Amino acid sequence: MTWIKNDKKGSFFLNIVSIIGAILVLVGVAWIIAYNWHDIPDFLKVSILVFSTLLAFIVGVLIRTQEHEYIARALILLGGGLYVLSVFLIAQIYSTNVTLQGVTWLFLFCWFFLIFIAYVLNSPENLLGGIVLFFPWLIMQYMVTVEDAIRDGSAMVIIFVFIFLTMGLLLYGLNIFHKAIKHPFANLYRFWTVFYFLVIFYILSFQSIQPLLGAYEFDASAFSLFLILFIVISYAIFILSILFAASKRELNVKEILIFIGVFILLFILALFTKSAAGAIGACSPTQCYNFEKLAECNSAPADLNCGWIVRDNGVGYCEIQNCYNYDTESLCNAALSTLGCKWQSQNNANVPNAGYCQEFDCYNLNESSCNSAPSGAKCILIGGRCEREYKELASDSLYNTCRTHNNQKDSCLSETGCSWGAGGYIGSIIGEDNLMPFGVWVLWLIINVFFIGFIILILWYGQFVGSTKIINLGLIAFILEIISRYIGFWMNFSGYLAFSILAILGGMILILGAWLIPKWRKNLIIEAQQEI
Amino acid sequence: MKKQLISVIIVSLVVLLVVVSFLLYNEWPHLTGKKIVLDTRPVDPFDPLRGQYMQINYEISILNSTNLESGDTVYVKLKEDAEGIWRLVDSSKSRPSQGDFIKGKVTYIYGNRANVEYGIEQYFFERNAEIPTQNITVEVDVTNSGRAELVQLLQNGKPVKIDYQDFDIRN
Repeated sequence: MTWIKNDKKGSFFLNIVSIIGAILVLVGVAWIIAYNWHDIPDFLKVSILVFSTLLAFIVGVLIRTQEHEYIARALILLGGGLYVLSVFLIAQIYSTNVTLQGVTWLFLFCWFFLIFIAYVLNSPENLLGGIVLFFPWLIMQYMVTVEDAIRDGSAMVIIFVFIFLTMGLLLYGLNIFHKAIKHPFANLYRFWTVFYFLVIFYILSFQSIQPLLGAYEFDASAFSLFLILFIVISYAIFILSILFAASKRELNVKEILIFIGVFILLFILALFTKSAAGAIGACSPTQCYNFEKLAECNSAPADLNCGWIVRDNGVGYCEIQNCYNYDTESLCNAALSTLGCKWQSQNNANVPNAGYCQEFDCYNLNESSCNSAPSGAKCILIGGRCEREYKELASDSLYNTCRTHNNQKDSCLSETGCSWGAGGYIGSIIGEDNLMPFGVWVLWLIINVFFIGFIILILWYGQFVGSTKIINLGLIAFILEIISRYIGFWMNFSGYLAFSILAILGGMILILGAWLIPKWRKNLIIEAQQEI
Repeated sequence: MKKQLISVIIVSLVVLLVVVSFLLYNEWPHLTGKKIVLDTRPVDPFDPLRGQYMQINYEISILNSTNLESGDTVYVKLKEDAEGIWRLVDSSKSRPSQGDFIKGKVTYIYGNRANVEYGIEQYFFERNAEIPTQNITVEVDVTNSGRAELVQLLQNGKPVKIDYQDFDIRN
């Protein structure tokens, strides 16, 4: 019996070694591609890579028939990786687009085919690669579709949490389906479902991220057709998988109900971060952008130098007047006396008067040119060098006064010259001594308690389904949570007292629970048996 | 054994199909297109997977923004000048029925300028190689539909001479 155990351990070790070997080869080839040697003709480069890809697949499958399963899997993984590199090599040879959409297309070619290989050649490693590439593809493609929303600032960070959640739902749906057809990939989908949910909890558990997530105002422009399609497809797969599993009598209703419960809990917690957005924020000297209406902007203190700028989208903003605000030569030249602007012409035959407005360049002037520069340019000689005159704004000196009111909305607004900026100002939380508002602290505490609860649920689930991988994942999440909170308390509160009290109380509850629950369970079983 | 053999044949055929299709898609303008030369304004960045490349702005990267919005597809009619450089004649949102043109996409508008990309704004070359950046023009193949593929860089009308470092294993 011992030798069988040792043999199993040895096979597992060989599996790890062969996978490391495959990854090393891939990294080496990737670096050669990135180096882009001109000595090797393009056609030869592609041929070598494609030939190696096919060879890896063929040898992998042949070796599998010789019952060297782990080496076969490593070779098939190598084939998948070489295919990915072939795509990037061709993209390099033809200098395809490097814009976000251009790169997104390459990712699509890669994840789709890796998943295809995984199913045809029964390769869980390639499925893993496909899932790993699918997620950045999803995020990048979403970002491409909401480019305008990102540019005008209406994109919301919280959407990414919902994308994570939907991804978890999709993976769980696939897990149910694969379990119903008794496919070996079911475990992999289950593992990644757990992983995604742990990641969402982990993201939510940071008090510095909560206000960022909470700074949302649902804007239709952030819901692109692509995102809606992804959500609809994910929900459809989830529901259809449940129906399919039910028809096959392979449905674990209790597990699905727990999943839906966690899903709804996370959804609600993410929405609840809204409460953090109003209470956390930076107190800073009033700036032009604090004036949201034309009349307010025009009556702003003169030294703020505010101006109402109408952008291409037709919306007006109150901004510090600077040269880049003026996009025509006449407006730019008119701003010489006030801002020292100068029109920089661009030699372009297609657009008459093409150019941009910039600050008068004092730094490249010699002494005599400096003295004869237009007065509006504000060039002065300092130590023989021509520089631009700097006048300290009143708001510069107010900075230190205002920042003492960070995270304290009411006292900030009562301070003259200070303005309140709600939302994710991380600098106001990290590295400064201001206490968190009590409501936000409670929200943070609730999320972390739920996170610990979820980790315990995962550990139980791992034991229930007999998956050491899920148990290990739960333990890693627990260690990460403890380390993050320990560092978090140190950074945010400059002390550990609250952490110590919470950890002791939480720990005692868990120990007590671990002692009482088996007793309670035992009593329940005895009662149930007596009833029978 | 037979099942596994069929599987690996299917995968190999699909690999070949995808790779050949991708190659053919990129090769198509070179096989069927017309060669034109465009004027440039280049800069140099780096891509982690594909290596060092030159980011190229063209003379036709900036157009007059009248009637154009960010995200619009724009067709730029071109005509060869006395120096062999193809320059803008006209631009429109609809595909021209005749003449030589290239298809682009408006990325953003600034004042009266529209910034346009044609998918040929990057040229990859060996890491640490030295490539001249003065008087550069680009030879491009353009299909009937206006899709462009970069062929080579030219300096003063001739293929650009790139200085490569000698091979050294320690590099």
